[in-house]
Amino acid sequence: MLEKWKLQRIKEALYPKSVAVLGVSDAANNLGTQVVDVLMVEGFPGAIYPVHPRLKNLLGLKVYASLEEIGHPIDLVISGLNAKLTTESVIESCARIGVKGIVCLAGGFKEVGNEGLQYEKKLKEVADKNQIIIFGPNILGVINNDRRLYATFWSFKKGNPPGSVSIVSQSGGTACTMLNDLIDRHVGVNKWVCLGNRTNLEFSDMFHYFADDDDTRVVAAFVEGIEDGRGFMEAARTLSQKKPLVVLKGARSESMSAVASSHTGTMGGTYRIFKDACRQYKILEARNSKDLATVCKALAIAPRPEGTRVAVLTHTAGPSILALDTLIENGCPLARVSEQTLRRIKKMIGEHAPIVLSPNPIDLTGSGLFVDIYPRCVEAVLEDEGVDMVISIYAIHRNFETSARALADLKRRTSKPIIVCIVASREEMSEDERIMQEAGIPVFQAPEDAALAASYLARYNQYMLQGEENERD
Amino acid sequence: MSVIERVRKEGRRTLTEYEAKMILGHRGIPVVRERLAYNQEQCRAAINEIGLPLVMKGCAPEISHKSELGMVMLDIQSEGEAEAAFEKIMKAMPAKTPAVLIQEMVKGKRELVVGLVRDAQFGPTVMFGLGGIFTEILSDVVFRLAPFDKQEALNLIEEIKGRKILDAVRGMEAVDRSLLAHILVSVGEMAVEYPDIMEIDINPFIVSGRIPIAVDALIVLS
Repeated sequence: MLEKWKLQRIKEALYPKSVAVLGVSDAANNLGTQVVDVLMVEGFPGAIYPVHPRLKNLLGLKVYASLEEIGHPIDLVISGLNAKLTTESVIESCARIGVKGIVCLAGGFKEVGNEGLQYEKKLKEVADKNQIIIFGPNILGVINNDRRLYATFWSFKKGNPPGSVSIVSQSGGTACTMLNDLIDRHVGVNKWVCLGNRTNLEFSDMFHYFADDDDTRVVAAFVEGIEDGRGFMEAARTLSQKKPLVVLKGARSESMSAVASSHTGTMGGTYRIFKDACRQYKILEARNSKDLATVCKALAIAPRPEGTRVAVLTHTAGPSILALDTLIENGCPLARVSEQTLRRIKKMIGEHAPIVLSPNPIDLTGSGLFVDIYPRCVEAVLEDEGVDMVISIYAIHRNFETSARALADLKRRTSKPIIVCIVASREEMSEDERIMQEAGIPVFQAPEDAALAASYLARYNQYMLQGEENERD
Repeated sequence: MSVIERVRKEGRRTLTEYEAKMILGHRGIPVVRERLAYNQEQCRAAINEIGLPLVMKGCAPEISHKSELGMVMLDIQSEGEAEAAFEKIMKAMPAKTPAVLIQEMVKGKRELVVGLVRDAQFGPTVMFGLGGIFTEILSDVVFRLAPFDKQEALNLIEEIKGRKILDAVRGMEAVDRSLLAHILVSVGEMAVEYPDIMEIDINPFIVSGRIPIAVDALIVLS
C-alpha cells in the first residue's frame, strides 16, 4: 500500500541540503571514510558532516562527536555502522534530530538469520514511527546525479553525463553493471537507488516516486525476489502508464531462488508467473543486463513512435538480415515500403545503378556510402506513410564522410524514431554516436541491438495504445 | 449445502473427480457427461443413458491417483465389458463407499490444461496450456494473475507456443476461443469467490469438434 509520507521523504533524502556520515575512521580503507571521499570527489554541493566520537578532522573536514552535536538540520545520514549499532543507537538519534532518510550500508540483518531479522524489525518499527525512509540495509548506496549526491562507498568510473535513465535495484553489483554499461553507451544515469533488504522502502514506493519525478524518463529495475508480487505489479503498471519501466528478473531458475534469499533475505519466487504477469500488466522485461541497457538507451533517447512498423535501410546486406531476424523473433511488425518510395530512392542513387530494391530491407549497396545520397534515402523511407520507424545501417570508411551530421539534422525535422547501427569499431563510431544521440537517435554497434531497441519501442507503444484504448472504453 | 461445505464437513481437503466437475459444470464450463454408480443396477442405467463407448473410473474420497492404481478403463465397447470393468474396479478400491464414475468417451486428438494455483508471491494465478502428457513434457503453459477479463484471457490463449493447435488444422475444426476464454475467466473468478480453493487442475480438456470438454478435474481445498 502506498504511504504518502514515503514519497515526500524519498524526495527529501535524494535532494539533501546536508549529509552526515557515520562509521568513519582514520584508516584509509574504512567504509565510512570511503563514503566521505566519494561525496567530495563527485562534488556534492551541500554540507558534509563526518561523525566519530574521537576524531577531529577527516579529509580536511571537521568531524563531529555525535549527530546531536552537529547542531544543523540533517536531511540524509549515510551509515557504515553495523547492524547492532544501527538498530540500538543510530536510528534513535536520527529520530531525535529529525533526519529524513538513512542510507544504511551494513549487512548483518534479515539475510543472515534470526538475530539479524530482530534487528531489522526494530529498525523498521522506529523508522516507520518517525517517518524516516531507509535505503537498505545491505546496499552499496544511492546516487542522485542531478544533485551530485553519490552516497556510496563504491568508486564509480567518472563521467556519468546528465541523463534521464533511473535505476532501482535490489543488488548493488547489478546496479553497477547497469550504470557502467549505460555510461559506456553515452547514456547518463539520473538516479541510482539500491534497495537491498527493503526494510521500509519497496520497489513499489520507488515506482510511485519515479512516476512523478520529472527528471526521470525511463526506469530500469533489477529484481531478485519480492514478497508482494501483486503490489509490485500494480505499482509497476502505474509507473509504466506514465513512462517506460524495464524490468530484469534475477533468480529465474529454481536453484537460484535460495541464493537470492541469502543475498537480500527474499526468495526468488516463481519466475514463470513473474514473466507472464509482466505481459498482463504491460511491463517491459529485458532478458539480461546487456539487453536492459540497450532498451533503456533506446527509450531514453528516441521519441515514442506513432505506430509499430519498422523499415530497415542499409548498404550492407548481412547486418540488415540479422536486424530483420531479430525484429521478427521479437514479434515486431515490419514495414513494407511503397513502390513510390522505392522509385524515389532509385532516382536518388541513379537510374543506372545495377540493383533491385526490395521493400524491406532496402539495400542501397555501394551508393549508400555517399553522404549526399544515404541520408536522403533515409528521409524518403521516413516519409513513407507505411513506415513508423527506421533502422538505418551504415559503415564507417576513413575516406568517406559519414552521414552522422546529416542524420542528426534529419532527426530534428522528423518526429519518427530513427535508430542507427554503425558497422565500425567502438572507437571509430564514438564521435558519430555522440552527434546523433544528442539529436535523439540511439546508436548501436550490433544490428541485433538496434533491432531489439526498435522492438521495445514498438512494444511500449502498443502497451500505451492499449492503455489509452481502455481509458476511452 | 454446497459441495464444498459438505466436503469440509466430512473433514476432507480433496474433492472427488465427480464433485469437482459438478462445481465446474455449474460455472458453465463444459464437462464430460457422466454418472456415478454404486451398484450394478446403477451401472446398467448409466450405460444406457451415456451410451457406448465408455470410460470407467474408480471414484471415492480416499482415492487420488486412479491411473496408478489401475482404476481407469478407457474405450469400453460393450455392455458385458462394462459390467466386468465395474466389478473389477469396485473390488480393487480401498474405500469405505466405493463407486465408479461412468463417462462418455470423448474423442479428440487435442488436449488442453487449465489450472489454478495460489502462488506465495502473486496469489491466485490461472494456468493454461497444452494438456495431457504434454503438460509435463513440453511445459507449454502460460499464467495470468486472477481475476482477469475476457480480453485478457484471449491474449493469454495466444501466448502458448503451440497456439496453432487451436486453429483449424489437419481437418480438425478451430477451437472455440471465446468459450475457452470464458473457461479461463470462470476459473479466475472461482479463485476470488472461494478463498478455500487452493488448487484446481483440469487436465485434460479434450477438444471435441470446437468444444474443449473437461474429462478429468481435481480441486483441493486449503
